[in-house]
Amino acid sequence: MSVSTVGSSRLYPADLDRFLRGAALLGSGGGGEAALFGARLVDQLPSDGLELVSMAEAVAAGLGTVAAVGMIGATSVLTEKLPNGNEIAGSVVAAERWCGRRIDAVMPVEAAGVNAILPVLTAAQLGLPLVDADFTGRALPRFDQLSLVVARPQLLRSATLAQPGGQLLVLDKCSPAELERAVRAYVGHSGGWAGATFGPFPLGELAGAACEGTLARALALGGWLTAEALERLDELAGAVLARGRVIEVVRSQGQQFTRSSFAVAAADGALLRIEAENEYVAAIRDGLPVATSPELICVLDRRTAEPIAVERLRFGDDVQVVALTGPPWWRAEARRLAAVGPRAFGVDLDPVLLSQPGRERDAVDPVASTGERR
Amino acid sequence: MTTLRQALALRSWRAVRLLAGPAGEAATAALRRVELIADVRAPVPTDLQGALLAVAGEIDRDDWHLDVLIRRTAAGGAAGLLIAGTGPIGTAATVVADRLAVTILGTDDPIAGAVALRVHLAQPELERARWVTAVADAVEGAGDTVDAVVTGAAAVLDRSIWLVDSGGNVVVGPTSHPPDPPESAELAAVLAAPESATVGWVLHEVATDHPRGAYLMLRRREHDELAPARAALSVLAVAIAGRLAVQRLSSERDARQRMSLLAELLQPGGPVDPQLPRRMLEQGWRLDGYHEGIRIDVPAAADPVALRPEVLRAFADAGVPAQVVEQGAGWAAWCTFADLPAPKQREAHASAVRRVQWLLRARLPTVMGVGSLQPGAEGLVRSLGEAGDAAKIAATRTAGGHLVQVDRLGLSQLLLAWTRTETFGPAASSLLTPLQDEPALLATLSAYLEAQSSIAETAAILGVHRNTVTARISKAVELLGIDLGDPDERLAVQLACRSVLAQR
Repeated sequence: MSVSTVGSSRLYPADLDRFLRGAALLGSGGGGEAALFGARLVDQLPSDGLELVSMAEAVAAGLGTVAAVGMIGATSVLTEKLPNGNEIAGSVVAAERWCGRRIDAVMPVEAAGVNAILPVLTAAQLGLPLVDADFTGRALPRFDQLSLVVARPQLLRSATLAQPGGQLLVLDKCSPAELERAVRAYVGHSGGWAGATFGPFPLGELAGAACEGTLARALALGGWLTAEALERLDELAGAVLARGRVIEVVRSQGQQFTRSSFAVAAADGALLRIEAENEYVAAIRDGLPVATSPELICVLDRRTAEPIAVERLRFGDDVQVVALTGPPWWRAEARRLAAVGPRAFGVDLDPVLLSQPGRERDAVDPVASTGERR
Repeated sequence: MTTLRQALALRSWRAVRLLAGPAGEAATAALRRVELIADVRAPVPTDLQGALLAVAGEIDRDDWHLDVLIRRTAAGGAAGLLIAGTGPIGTAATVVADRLAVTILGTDDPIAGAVALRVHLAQPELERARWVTAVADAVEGAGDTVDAVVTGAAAVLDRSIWLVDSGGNVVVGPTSHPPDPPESAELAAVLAAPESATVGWVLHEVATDHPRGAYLMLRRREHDELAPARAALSVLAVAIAGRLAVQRLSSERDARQRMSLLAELLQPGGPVDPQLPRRMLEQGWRLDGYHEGIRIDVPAAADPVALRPEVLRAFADAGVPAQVVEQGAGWAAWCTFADLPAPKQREAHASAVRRVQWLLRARLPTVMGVGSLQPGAEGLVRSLGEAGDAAKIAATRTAGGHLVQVDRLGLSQLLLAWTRTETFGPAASSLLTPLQDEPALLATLSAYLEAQSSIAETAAILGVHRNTVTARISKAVELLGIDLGDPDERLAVQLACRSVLAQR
């Protein structure tokens, strides 16, 4: 089934590399390794590309229901407990069967990292339209950080989980908190990860409760943030927070996730501290917070421009730390910001946003820019 | 002013360690206060100029909070940061501390460290308060005299304090050794450069209309700070100025009484007030017995009321009991003897009076005339009249140290008249030709002969050492080729001296 609307984006097999890199950038250090399913996606993508359908287009085309899909659990376990590739498709089919309604389209739960890739794969496998909208706009770790839960929590009632071994778990008539507790308990005791389907949701009711265009942004981001562009990044947009080596790595067990703290000795003499949970949450330059969630803080290999995930950043890495504007949906209201700001990750800082989308380079350290103390 | 570096050397800061940031020579930012906050999450004051920021609560040494704290410390302009614990801080925070030039100190008990530093910083104020209070108490408890106030303050401060005039002469203060009285030259040097810190003195001017001014000087001990001593002296100076004013007031009142009493006594036609003898007795003046009037003149610019104590002191030092009354541009003084003194006693007395003049001339350009001994009230009036005349003659007489005693005036006037004749003048000049280019020898020889060949007397009059007089006389005798043992020769030389000096 195809939807033809003028102006929609398409994902072609040739775009895969930049799509993967863009998805990793949106991970802000988390979200799992996007490249993991790259090879599989090349096989599955139609040669004439897959359309990224906007919400408006999907509604206009008369699509009724959409299921939000992705994997849930520890992304690092994906390489130990290998997927059979059909988990998510299986969970979609199970969800359809449980609720007795046809699912017209799929969308990512979280269009970042590995969870940006899997919905594309699922859409290709099932031959369903892929709606370019998600509930996070970047990588975010918790259910209470889904735009749907912040905006319309009553809509999130059910989840269907599928394991590589074929086990299925359907949860329904739960509040988001109950859902998260049950899902985490199940995943935690059954292998670390599962393919998941949330919904289905009536497409028309998602307006204003989802981040739109995140997949297209991944494609665009991956296109320009290349190794060649890395050294010219100042002119390109995003704020370069530091270029230098990691001189300190401290990891400790936090309440729910592992906490990490990195120190990067910048070539210009500054010291950039990066606080992280599953994602990079806050960047503090010479004691001054310069960028925090929901903005994207990306640590890139200085040579290849490959994003380095939180759990893979090591002492001595030569990196470039870049801040990119976070999803507009979260930035739009103070209440939304509170759900994804640094305090939501246990870092007691007020959110520090890059001044204006497109004018991100303004967010440089005012003290360091004068060169002198006082 | 305390710096971080000095603070680290404090005994009460032995438990404080340097953790990061500038140290040693670089840690010279001035410390004036301590800001204490509860923990890293507490609000940091925005103005930390001159402050040490102390954080009481525990701090994670690898945490970003420390970076932010360092940042705020730097932004507030603090001199340093004191945190809990002496263990090393993380690499990152160390880099930030170096980069923002924030000295980080650690101690197991930051509150104790902050309190200790606060106490130390308040020390100068405490010390000042201690000195000022001590002096205030001393002044309160001291008597009405300037001497008592200065001595009392010196005792409570356990420092030597002098009241000196602008010439460096000690007015009040210890003059015996110990405690090591200063040379007047030394005092004068301090007065000339009061701010020079090396001299070991603290100086404060006393507000007074005394012609010579008054200054308080305190000899500093090695570790004395300037400020407390200055504050103490300023308090003392006010107390002294007050007492000087009271003293001056009472001495002026006394002076007016004395002056009017004397004026009545000297009134032409004799005193009219029948109460006069009683009033004089109340002043301690005796009308019976024999009186010797003494007139002391000073230049018109001098203030006889203010300078009277110096005249009294000169008389006291010379051992001459005398009444001294301000009169015109100087003083009328007299000595009273119950009986007519024996010649030997009169000789001693005359010598003592000469010493008075010599002592006075060391400080003031005084001229002294001494009347003859006369009995009774009329005798006092007459002797004072003679003294006045003698003083007028003394004004032009350098040879006798500007002193003329009327007892000898008759003879000297006779001789003087003769020595000024045209025949004697050239002869005298030729006799003394060998001394033409030696004015000191001529003056000494003249004074020696006038002083009845007394070496000691001559020395006293000229204000030189006896040995100097002996040497000069020997030289003069040698140059002149005369024998002073020969009465004829001695007389001739003395007359020649008179003649030659009178011609000048």
